Amino acid sequence: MDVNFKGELDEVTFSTVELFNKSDKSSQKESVPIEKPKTNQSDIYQAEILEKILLNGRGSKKETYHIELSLEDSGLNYQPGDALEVFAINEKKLVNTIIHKLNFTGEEPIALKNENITLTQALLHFREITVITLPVLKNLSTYVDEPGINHLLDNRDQLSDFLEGTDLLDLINTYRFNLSPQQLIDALRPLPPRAYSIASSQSEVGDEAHLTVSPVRYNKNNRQHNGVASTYFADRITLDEKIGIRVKSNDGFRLPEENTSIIMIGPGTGVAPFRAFLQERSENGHTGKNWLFFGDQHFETDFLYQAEWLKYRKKGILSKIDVAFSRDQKNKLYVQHRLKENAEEIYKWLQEGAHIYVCGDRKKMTHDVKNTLIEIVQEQGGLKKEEAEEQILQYRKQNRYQEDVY
Amino acid sequence: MTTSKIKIPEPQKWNPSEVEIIKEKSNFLRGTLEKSLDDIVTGSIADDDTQLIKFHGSYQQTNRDLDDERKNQKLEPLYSFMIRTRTPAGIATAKQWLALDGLSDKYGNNTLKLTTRQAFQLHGVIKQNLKQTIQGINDVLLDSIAACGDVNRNVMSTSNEGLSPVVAEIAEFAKSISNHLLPKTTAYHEIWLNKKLLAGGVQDEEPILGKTYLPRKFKIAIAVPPHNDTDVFSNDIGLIAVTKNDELLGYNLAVGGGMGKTYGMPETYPRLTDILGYVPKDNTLNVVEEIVKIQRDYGNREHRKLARLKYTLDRLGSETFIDLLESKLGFKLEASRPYKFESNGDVFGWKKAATDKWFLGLFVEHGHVKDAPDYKLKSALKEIAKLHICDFRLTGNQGLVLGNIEETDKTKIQAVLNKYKIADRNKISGIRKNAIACVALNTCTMAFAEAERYLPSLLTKLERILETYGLRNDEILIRMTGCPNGCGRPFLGEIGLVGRNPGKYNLYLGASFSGDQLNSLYKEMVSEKEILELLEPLFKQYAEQRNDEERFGNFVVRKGIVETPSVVKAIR
Repeated sequence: MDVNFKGELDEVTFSTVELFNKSDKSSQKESVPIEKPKTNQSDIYQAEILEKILLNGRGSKKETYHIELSLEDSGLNYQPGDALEVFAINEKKLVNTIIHKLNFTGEEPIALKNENITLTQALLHFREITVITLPVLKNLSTYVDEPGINHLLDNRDQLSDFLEGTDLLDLINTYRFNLSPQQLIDALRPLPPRAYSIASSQSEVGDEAHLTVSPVRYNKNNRQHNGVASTYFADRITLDEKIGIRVKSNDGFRLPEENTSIIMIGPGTGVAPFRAFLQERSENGHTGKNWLFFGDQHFETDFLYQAEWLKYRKKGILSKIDVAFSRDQKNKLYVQHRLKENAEEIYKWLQEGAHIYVCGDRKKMTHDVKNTLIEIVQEQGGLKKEEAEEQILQYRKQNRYQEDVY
Repeated sequence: MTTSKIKIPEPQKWNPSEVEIIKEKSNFLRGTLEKSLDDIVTGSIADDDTQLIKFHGSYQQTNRDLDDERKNQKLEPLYSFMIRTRTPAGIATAKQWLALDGLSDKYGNNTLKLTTRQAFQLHGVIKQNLKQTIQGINDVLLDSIAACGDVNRNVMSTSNEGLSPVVAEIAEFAKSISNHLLPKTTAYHEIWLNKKLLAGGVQDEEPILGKTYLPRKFKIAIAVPPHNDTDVFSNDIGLIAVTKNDELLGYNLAVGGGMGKTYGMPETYPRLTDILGYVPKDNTLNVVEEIVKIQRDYGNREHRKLARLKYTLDRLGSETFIDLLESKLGFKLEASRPYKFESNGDVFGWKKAATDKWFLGLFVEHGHVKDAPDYKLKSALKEIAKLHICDFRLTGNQGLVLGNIEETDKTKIQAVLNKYKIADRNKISGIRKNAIACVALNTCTMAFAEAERYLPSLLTKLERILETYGLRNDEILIRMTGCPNGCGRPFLGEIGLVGRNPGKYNLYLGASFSGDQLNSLYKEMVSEKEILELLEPLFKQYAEQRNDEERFGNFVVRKGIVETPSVVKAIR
């Protein structure tokens, strides 16, 4: 069975209890409050959605949401740099389509640990269906008659291409499965939480946590695929509803001493923890200088939290801010170009002891940013490439170079 | 001639207003504009620079419809800039028209606005394209210097040569005045055109305007009777051409007009000029310069709302003002000559000039040149411009005159107009023909209510009522503005609508049709429903009881429907 499953026993129980206490989605006025003592950091807390704002201006091709969650009475604490794990619910339409294609009704009883629930509930709340991992594919292959699937499993390269962006419905549309509802549930892995860097500091927002979420949407096999948690925020949840969350500590991404300067590189949603950093530094009167590098597609519509950065800049809290908007001109401009343009000043800050933070989409930028920093150190320091690389490594060891990539 | 001892008052010392301080510190209008333009983190320029950029012919604006939405989205307002040309007498060549048309497509919002002061306006230009746009304007020998700000604004003049044989001369004089009073600072060239004109260490100088320029905007207009299409009496200086046997002799000098007022501040008011006398044409430029300098020295530098020449004139008193002026000039003003204006509207249709060239007056609704799905005015005019057989002359009523057309080219122009079904002036209702609406929303920061986006539909409703009483073709002068600053000269409308709140206006009635009589307040804070309910019985009464040829504005005054409004006074 899936190794993850055991670790999430508590989650399953907790969530199930929550599930039965939560009224039906269609009448989501209130759930029966559960009298609980202060929440452990390891418990899942049902956080109410206080605010959901589309941050991209009219006409944008992007979709980024600012979410404000209530931590009231949870007793939960977090630090700038931490993340929230979000326990989302799957898309009903997708679940129903899967059930229908397998000729089930959805009402079939499923035994899940100590609870009895329906197939629909199991797929909605407790099983990962938007991502297929290799172990899950192997589990499911035992219920397929066709030899094709075994050939696929044998071919490593083909396999990884196949799994990229594939969901359960894609599998069902490709192969004929012969299994019972229980067997299906047992073959799938538990729905894991998704982690989002927290975009606020409790110094400013108190018992709230803010997130910056961009829904994952892509087209594959002629069908729209949606990321479960990101589109849960975007499409399926509204104000006053609750979502299960848990604080995920991240000691690898922390503010330095209050008089140390920081350089923050956070394109797109990668800017989230830097909002937390600035809130924290502003509220607590840190004297260290702050420099933000941000990038996205269009200045007019995609400059996430622009009004806040301008406010910080005016107050002198944000010492410098450099931006790159990739689609505003013929040639694509990214944060790394701005880094290059500011090589001299960046190096000066580094010599003065500044810390560097990089946050964002791993696929899209970390590699280029790291290389650019190495180049800067190389050029400005008059070093050979290996020496520059060694320097960055040293920064890492000294906790002066920290990454939060996903 | 004995001169009795005339008491000439000394200029007052003022506690300078914030804007005065900004001008003082700006190093002849430079401020931190260069830095602001380079700041790519915001689409706006620094606060102080927003005052200075006006002198360069631009205003910072936002897309007001989106202000609230973007604020919620934690984005700054959607900033853009308006650029206004300096086009004395509103004259542009075909080449210049094409350049502006192209710039509106490339950097603007695909439309051209023809203003009530005979200038072009481009809207929607984002900060990073400002330089290119101004350079594009400069490439065709136009500029935007002093189109806004505390300077002499675009000098107006009748430019339809078909209306009088002296039009060409007075239009040329408008250009002379404009050039003579232009700021001399090289800041404009430095900032926008990348030209450093001053040798190192040399300072700019402003011999006429002074280092902090004028206390407020200054407006000059020329008209040749019987046409007052430039609304001379609403200007700081109005020059009424005096002719004899088709020859220009000189001008009646009208001083101290101004439209604007502020709600809740009775010390502010729209005012028409006083006629101070007559000046032979060769002395006129000198007289204009001296008046500007008097305003420079005596105008209120403390309260901007009281800074226009009209308040200076009232503070000093007309007689004292004349004494002051004459002492500066070294000669006395002659008594004004008789004149008569018949209309302040545009003249439409073909007119032949003394040069045997033809001039065609076109109707452009609220000066808005754009392509609508069923009315492609912009494309039509572009096509005409491409023929290079005429020039383009903006009017004081947001209209357009195609000028200097050879007899043999008339059909070519008519063909294009027919092709695009450009409105036959005969089919336009009397009330729509002369209607003026300022820009107001979406972009003007001052607007309380709609003007340009709303007046056309209101006119449609009014047309239905007028039709009922057989008044469809009667020319009634209606003007709507979004606020009481008065850019659309609403206080000279036979019907004036001045915005108070969204959907609410103050209704004024009773101006004359020739621009020499203001209107009076009829009712405050009226909605559309009330506007229609109030005007209908008046139209009915007008249709039934008017005298022959009596205008609507004069009718309501005669019948005592409104208070007797103020008129132009002749002092000399």
